Amino acid sequence: MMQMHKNSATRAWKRAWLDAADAFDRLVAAGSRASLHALAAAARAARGEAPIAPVMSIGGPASPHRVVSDGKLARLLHYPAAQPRAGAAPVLVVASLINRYYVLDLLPELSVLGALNRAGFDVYVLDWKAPGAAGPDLRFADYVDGAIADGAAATGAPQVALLGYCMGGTLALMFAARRPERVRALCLLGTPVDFHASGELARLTAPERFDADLMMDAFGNLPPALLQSGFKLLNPADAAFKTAHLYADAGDADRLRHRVAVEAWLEDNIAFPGGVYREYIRGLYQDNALVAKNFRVAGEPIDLARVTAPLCNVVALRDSICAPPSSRALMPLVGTPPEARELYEFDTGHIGLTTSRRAHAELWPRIIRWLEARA
Amino acid sequence: VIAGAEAQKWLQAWEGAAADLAAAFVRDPRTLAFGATMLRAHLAWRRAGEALADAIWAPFVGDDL
Repeated sequence: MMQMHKNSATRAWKRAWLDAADAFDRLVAAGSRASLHALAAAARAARGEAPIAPVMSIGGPASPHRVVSDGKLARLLHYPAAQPRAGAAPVLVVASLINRYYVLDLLPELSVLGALNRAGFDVYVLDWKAPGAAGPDLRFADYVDGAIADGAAATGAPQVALLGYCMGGTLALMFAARRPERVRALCLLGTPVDFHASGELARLTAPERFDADLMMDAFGNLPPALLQSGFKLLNPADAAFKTAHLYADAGDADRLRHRVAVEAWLEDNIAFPGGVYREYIRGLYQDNALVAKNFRVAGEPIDLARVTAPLCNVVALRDSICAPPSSRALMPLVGTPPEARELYEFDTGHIGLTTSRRAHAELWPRIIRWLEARA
Repeated sequence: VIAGAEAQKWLQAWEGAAADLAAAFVRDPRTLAFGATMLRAHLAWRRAGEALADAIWAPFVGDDL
């Protein structure tokens, strides 16, 4: 592995650039959001209809919340329950490091966090920050033993119900294995565990094709644009049809608003911290070390058998980012008693788990009932 | 603006066919191998460029970077 020269002009320039790049990424995301709104307005105008309103409410959290703390890696947000359930553990949401958490709070009528609040759960969310110049030195331990542990402690409760989504699920799982006494219940959505079974991403990142170290030596952190191009390779024709879909949906304001909200969120990514990316690709995608029980966090191997909390593992059957076998593989690996392990399989895609109307009508009531019984 | 169930059906069929074709192309082992070679070459050139820039600047900067 070639590291950047310790004292070099390019290294100093890169560190400065990594901070500037985060601001640039925010600008690009805002530009994409504005373009989508403009396209939607044009599609509506072509039908003689008024633009979807109010456009500025799309692209950010929908439900009321407050900032509890502002850490180095994440802000901790609190979404309070209107009528808290007596004795219920707070729900701590761990989203993917590279996506914004507000996919779980996309629109008032399609808000997972809002649904949890209505069910009486106090919800805390880790809103990951862009890594900036610190990114190349960050490790999984900084997130698992640092940000997640701090977030759980800041709830003030002895135990939390962890809700992890995508890579956030993998982080939550690692925390549950390292600190089982802090976890009352564990609910995972589209979470990769057996990375060799995770479909196209596993093929794209195979060691003979992909050198994460070379990539991070060049970029420091993985820029969102490169991240996006990788995801777009999973469904390459999708991008070409997105504008057509906006026009096709123009007659239905609710449908169009939903589409704009999802697309705006998809374009709003955070750079992947370089140090974590090296561990993620080499250790998980290439060596499948989580299943092999030799993935190390802070020098100690993660043993999934140490996870003893009740488990609800939710698999999307049309998931192209985390293929179903990758998530299903978790079930026999945990130490949770078999009667406290649930596997929910739902016919949708990776993002549909949290954004589709059908998931909100059929899947989430089921997950919330499970949480009510276990958390 | 797309109108009519028939048009929608054709659009869906066209989308499906195009998506399958595009997916088959990007997942073809030859495409993957070509992409991997291009990426590696790009990163190697970038690394060489940085090494050159460092070598040029080295006499003018100290160890305090």
